[in-house]
Amino acid sequence: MNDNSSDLPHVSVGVRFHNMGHVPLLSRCLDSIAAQNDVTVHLLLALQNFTPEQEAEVKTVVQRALLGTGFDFELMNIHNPDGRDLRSALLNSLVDYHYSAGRSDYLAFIDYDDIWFQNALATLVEPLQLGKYVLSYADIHCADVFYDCGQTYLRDIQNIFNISQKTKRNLLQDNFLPLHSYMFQTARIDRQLLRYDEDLIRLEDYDVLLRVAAQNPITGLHRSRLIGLYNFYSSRGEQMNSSRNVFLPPDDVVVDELWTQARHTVILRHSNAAWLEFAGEEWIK
Amino acid sequence: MSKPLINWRRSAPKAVTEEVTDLGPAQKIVDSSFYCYRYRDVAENGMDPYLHFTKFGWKEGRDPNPFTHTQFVQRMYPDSSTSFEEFVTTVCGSIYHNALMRAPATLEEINAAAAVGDKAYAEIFNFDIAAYWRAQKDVALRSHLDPIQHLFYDGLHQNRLRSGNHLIPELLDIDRYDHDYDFLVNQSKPLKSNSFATLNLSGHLKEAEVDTSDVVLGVGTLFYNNDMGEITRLLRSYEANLRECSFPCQLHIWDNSPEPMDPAALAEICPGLDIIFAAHPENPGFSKGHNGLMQECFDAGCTHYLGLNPDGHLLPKSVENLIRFAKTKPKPALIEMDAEPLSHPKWYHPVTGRTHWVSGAAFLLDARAYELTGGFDPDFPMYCEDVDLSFRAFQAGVGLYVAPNARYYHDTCYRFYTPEPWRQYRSLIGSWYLCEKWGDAIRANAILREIERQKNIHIPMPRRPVALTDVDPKIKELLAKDRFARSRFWGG
Repeated sequence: MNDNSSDLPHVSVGVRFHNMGHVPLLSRCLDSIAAQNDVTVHLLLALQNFTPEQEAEVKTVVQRALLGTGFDFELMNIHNPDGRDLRSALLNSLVDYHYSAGRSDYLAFIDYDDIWFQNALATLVEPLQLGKYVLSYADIHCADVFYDCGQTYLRDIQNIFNISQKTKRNLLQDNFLPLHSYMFQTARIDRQLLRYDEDLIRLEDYDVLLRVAAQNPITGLHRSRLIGLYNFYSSRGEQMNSSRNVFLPPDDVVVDELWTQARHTVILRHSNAAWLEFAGEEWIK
Repeated sequence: MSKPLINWRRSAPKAVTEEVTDLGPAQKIVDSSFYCYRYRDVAENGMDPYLHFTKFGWKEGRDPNPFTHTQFVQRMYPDSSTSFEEFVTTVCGSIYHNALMRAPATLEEINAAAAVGDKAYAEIFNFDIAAYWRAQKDVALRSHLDPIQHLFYDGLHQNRLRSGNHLIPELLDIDRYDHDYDFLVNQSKPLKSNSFATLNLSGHLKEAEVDTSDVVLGVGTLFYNNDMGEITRLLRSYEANLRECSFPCQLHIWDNSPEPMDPAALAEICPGLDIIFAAHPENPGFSKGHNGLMQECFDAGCTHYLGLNPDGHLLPKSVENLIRFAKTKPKPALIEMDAEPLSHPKWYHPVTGRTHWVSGAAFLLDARAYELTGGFDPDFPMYCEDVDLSFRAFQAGVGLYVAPNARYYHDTCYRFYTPEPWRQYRSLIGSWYLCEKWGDAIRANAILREIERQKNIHIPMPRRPVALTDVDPKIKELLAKDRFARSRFWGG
């Protein structure tokens, strides 16, 4: 909530949503977007193959969450008659909408089951205003959340990614940046770089990060600032994330073959790419 | 571990030893030194441990070695009870030997893990081994055993799991058992992490059925130089909540700022909203301010009072959910709205909502709870006044809860990276005052030393309070904990 919202940085926030059974989780995410300070938000919500009734229900949820914030939103429903995994296609739709609308130079994504803290977007946007970076990132911790009957219970928080200790070079080893830990300055990025590979079933975001980071300056100026939580929800006998739950004991972890294959593809794809380093990418604590 | 008894071979009863018994199977699973240490009657009667276990022990539910809990194994694998041979075959296999195991393993694998240490144990046992060892400082200093061995030899019988917060009493019902060991052997399957997997958080289903027709809610908030953005967000969220409330509400605002705001400016934010506004430039502070607001609300016929910090806002339907939650609980009650985006790290029961103290950021109390407590202690300095109110409420028989479906957005996460020495210092003063008041001189003195170390901050110390007598043992226990409550996360 800001008095002079027209003076504030305007940020597009893209969210993918595909499971009507998880509306309470989407609501939490939207509440965290609605609470953002010192920015104005244009929320872009990409739905996967929803019926008109479902779309209307989601619209009500969004309106309710954003009420009184001054933030606006756009729903886009991507049809999926073949039942394909649309994770990349949804991201591409969000990117396309963002560029076409031309309303903002800043684009961030958040998965519908994750949350930001109140200063997240302001924290991410500030370094992009200070220097000619194309991407800024900050810290995210992992949360172990029990979910039942629409109710959540936070059980644990762990610093799994150690983002505060990592720089661009660490991307060469692994993707330490969850989707909502960074923001793009899209005016400085060739639109073609922000194409998510629709053949990748996992790690489509890592693929784009490597492509963007290889040739462009990125900043971790605020990498020690905790800006949100990567939620690992578990319900009775059910894991609700598609990625490996970092809170599960090793014996309960099912090896995700899709992830392994995708990682192999991404590493091969980028193994010979030139990697440029820029001043200001390494921040001394 | 104390010295095991010796000389158990000296005088075994003839009737037993004269029979020809194959001790081979028992020798595969019985740890003779453990058996004699644990079952001193066997040693005192001079019986051979292998023979004793073969003849009597397995039927009596005695454990052949520290890790195999016979009663648990027999419950988990019912076929193992059919014969001794079957029992030995089961125990020799890769099984859950006890309820603390993360995955099935053989005895050889468990024993091999001892040689490797914590990492290997962590793959077998389902609790934080390093934390266990850190918590058992007295043992660490003198025992030659590793932490897991110590736990299974002695720790379970000394309740070191529950005393070290490695089992959650509120979830696991361990209080029904005198010892951690009894609790574990009475399980029929291994404990899952925190045992949440069995919980049904369906409290809100009951909340849907309650009658709220007798409720009149007074909402009170105290301003102190807040920016208009915060105030606007709070008022708009309150207005949006009003539309979803099934009962009447009154909003009371005291502005404690030296230069109070113009009530007309408030009216502009939400033109249709009725606000009972009063300026208090003399700044009575948090405790006296809320006491005044509570008195005002209850005098005006309110049945409940909801106190809100101005630096947060209400999430959709949270006020209705809060009252519905309150109506499912016996009166009197003091209830905290669960915080978003980050719930307070102190413990609350995920099903009942029971907690150790109620945060003052967003709290509800009914008229009876106010009558019993008189609200906040007016002499209490800033910070921990909510813990004090909660402890007094607890001693007066008021139930303390967190309402998980009533969410108040109160983001203090920026404090992680924005140093605020004055806040930390005031928090120390509040903690010191609380410990002095509730008679924990040891912790009070420790905090006082820290306050003296930080004396470059010029905030006057309050007068030392008179210590209360007759403090409930539960409160004494909580005073020793980092957050004056057991933590769900972030240690303590």
